[in-house]
Amino acid sequence: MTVLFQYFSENWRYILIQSRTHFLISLYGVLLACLVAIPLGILLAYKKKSNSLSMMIANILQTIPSIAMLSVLMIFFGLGSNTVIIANFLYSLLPILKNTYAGITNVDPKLLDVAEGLGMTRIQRLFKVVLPLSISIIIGGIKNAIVVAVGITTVGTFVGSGGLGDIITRGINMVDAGEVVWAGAIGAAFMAVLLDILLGFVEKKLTPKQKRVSSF
Amino acid sequence: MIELKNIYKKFPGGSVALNNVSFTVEKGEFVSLIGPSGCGKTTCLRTVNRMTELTGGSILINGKNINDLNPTILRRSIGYVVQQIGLMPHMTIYENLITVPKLLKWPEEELKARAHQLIRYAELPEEYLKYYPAELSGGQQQRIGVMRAIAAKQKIVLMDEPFGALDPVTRNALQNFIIRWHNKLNVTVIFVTHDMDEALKLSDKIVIMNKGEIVQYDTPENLFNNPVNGFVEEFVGAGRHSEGQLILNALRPYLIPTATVNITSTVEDTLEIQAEQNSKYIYVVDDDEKLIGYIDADDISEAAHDMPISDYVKDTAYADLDTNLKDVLFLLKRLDYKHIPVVDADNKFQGLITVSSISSQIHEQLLDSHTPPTSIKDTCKNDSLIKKEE
Ligand SMILES: Nc1ncnc2c1ncn2[C@@H]1O[C@H](COP(=O)(O)OP(=O)(O)OP(=O)(O)O)[C@@H](O)[C@H]1O
Ligand SMILES: [Mg+2]
Repeated sequence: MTVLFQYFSENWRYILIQSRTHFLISLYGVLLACLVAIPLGILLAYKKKSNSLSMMIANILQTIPSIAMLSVLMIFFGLGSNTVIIANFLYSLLPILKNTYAGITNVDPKLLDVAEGLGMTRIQRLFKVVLPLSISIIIGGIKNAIVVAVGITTVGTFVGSGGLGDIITRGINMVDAGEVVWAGAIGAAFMAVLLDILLGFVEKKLTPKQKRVSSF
Repeated sequence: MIELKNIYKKFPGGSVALNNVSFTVEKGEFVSLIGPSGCGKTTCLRTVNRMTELTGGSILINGKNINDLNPTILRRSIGYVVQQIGLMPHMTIYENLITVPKLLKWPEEELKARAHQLIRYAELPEEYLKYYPAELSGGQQQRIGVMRAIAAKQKIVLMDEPFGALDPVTRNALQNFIIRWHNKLNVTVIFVTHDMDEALKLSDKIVIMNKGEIVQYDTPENLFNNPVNGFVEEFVGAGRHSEGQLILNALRPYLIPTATVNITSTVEDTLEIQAEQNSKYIYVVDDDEKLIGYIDADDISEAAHDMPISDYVKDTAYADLDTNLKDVLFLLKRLDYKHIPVVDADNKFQGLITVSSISSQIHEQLLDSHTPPTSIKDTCKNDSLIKKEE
């Protein structure tokens, strides 16, 4: 334990830099996935196509083991963080797509009918009714995606992406340096839990309020 | 004015929901659509704000064909109230009320002022503006729903069974609320219901529909007095005996339409009308059809013919349209009147109610719900009389 603390206190600057890299690689992948999966999810929900080709592809992508995915991507994109960002992007598609679809199809069609009857355009219905009522479920999907991405990024050290995985491999390669492995692992786990809590909070915050005083 | 001209609607599925439906709703009128489930009431209503597009025929609003208007712009000019969950659950009452004015980009101060005005019209406290719909009762929510429909000063409001989901007591209160609201704001209303009592209580005119067609479009009085066929008779009858009872909460069915005389008329005009009506009393109204009093023919028989009648007008007792029938009977007896004038919430003269108009209506209502005995002989004990009949 004391060795671990010692390692942290002596290398905090290095750990911080790797954490930042780790976080950004995870974040970029998820953000890219948001750009694709949210509009796609909206589209699929409007067309009521739950088992479309795109949903199937996202489903299949999800089942590929991360090492396999990273190796294949490396053939195309070479070593470095870009490959990991792309892997994160691919893994994030499904949770975000699925939740966007579920959130939007969950909105009562009668409300949309009323909104149309009041004279809202299609876009206004989307932004004033559909999204406010489904945004928390979509955030839930993003939350799941980012937790997975933090894990994938840890493995990403094998394709030379940097991040907390680097600390772990470094520890493995050193003789008798369990504390270094621990430092990397704890860092990654801590990041995943922190992001989970943080986005969980955002999710609750964005849950449509239906009472003046909410229960949280 | 809303004119539906030979409208026809066939859904892609193949069923014809509306067949050659034509009727006109005058400005400020309250018209109900009523008929069996699936007869096309909702479809008909929704063609007016183009939520359902016509397959044939046309609809004119103030002379303009609605197909020449942008549907979104059209809908913002027509209020729309539906059954149950009409309000946006994630918006406060304030946000719900000002939805359409906001779409129309009213300035912020006007939105605020309007919301405060509307919550007063809804007869609810101002702090409710901050509440969410889930915090209001069903009846309160529907008051807000009605107010939202006129928030942008819409002159036409479409309502699809707005009180269908409410309990009878709340429903009755909301009906009275709608009557007050309609009289005050003078909007044109098309109202879908399957409750004949409700239609009778609220409407100036009623469209009776069956299988996508209009069976009769008429005033409540005419539906009672001159039903075009057995279907109407039965339908109007069904309303009268809901739960096997007489209609007690609405006076319309019992009214006799009666000519009135304007306050500015002369004695001569009045005597003429009096002769036509063959009645000793003539009721006097102002230019807005509001009841002022009555003239006793005896008082003016000696007067100069070109005299204005205003000096001879006497005060009269009267009843509101939503007075309970029992109270009216009591009043007639207590005052020893032969008849009593009935006014709407705006004080406009609606007709007369007399002991005989009540009794003949009750007669009809009771007989309509009566299944005749299979053998008259069993019921009527005197054989000789029946033989004569036959
Ligand atoms: N979107 C639609 N597609 C196909 N058919 C429809 C559609 N909407 C209504 N119909 C059909 O049109 C007919 C009229 O329906 P509508 O909803 O207007 O009846 P309604 O008089 O309002 O009935 P209710 O009293 O049950 O509300 C019905 O036969 C119905 O099945
Ligand atoms: Mg209907």
